[in-house]
Amino acid sequence: MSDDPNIIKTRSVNEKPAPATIMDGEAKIVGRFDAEQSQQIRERQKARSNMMGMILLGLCVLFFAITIVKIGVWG
Amino acid sequence: MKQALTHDHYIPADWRDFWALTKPRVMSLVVFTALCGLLAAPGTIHPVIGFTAILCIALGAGASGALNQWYEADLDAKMKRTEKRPLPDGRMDKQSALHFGVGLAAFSILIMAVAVNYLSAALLAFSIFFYAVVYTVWLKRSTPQNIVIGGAAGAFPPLIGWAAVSGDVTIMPILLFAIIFLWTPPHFWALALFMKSDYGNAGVPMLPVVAGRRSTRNQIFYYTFPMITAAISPFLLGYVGLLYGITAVILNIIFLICAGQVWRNNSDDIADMKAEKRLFAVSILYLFILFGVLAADNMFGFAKVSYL
Repeated sequence: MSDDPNIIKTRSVNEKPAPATIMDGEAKIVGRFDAEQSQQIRERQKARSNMMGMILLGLCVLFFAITIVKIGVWG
Repeated sequence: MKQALTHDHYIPADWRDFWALTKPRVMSLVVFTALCGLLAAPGTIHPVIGFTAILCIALGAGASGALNQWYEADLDAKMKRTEKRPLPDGRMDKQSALHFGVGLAAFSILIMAVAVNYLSAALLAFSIFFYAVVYTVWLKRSTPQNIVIGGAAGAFPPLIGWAAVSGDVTIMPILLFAIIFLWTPPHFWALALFMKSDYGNAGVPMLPVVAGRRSTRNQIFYYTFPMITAAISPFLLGYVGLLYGITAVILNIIFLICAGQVWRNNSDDIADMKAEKRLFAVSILYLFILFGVLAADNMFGFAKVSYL
């Protein structure tokens, strides 16, 4: 395996990801993504999860309200 | 910076990109006209069911927009107006857009059928099919009349809103459909006149690209007359009151003046296309005010008299 820092090292599916390291002030690519990309992915996943949670919560409230209206409690 | 979105370097799209995929600005007009159709319909609807109907129409419009962008990513990349959309800009992969569009469409139709009624769900399903398949896949790249027939897709929301309340489709909602259907060609052709190079670069056979600006200006002017007839008909037939009648007459005079200014203009220089830009802006206001007044007229119970 080459030690050239310009080469992106990949890993097999079962191999554990190597930790991201910072060399000379720049992210060194050690796994599939560099540290910056990993951070970006985590931020997007978190934002999408939060948004999905809010949507699901809203849908729960809406379906509850529709059910109550349909069975005629407020009708 | 555009990212190469392969499986090895896949950055998940931001939720804002999914939001952009639904064409929020188009959706706002869809929601507004649907709400006006719902408010103008005879009968009552429970606020929760009414909200659900509008939500489903909005989601259906969003699904149509997503499917449209999925199919047209190659065209969008060639036009300045659309090159920053999530797919041509490389912020999202096509498969995510397709899954999002299909999922949203299925969800909106299902909820509409379960919570509102089958007729409005069927109309919603047909409108999504019409926009995503008939307009986007079939018409847009093949005929300069794409906007004329494709305009039907945008004309469905007030019809669906009406059907959600009344459970049927009568002459009045068909007139509402006709207003938007006949309003669409002058509205889009006004835009296409000063965006001609954009559409030309992308190879979209919009009327100014295929038939030239003179012919397009004539068509805009000719289409204004059936649109005016459709817009004033609800008043003449006694379906709406005086508030709508007076407003419709004033709005249609303004629209006709603007269309006349476009008709008289012979310039090919975009800098001299103030009349076209004015007509485009006025046409948006026209639809907002006309449908707003339609809903207000019904809510305030103005007397309805048939003049025919």
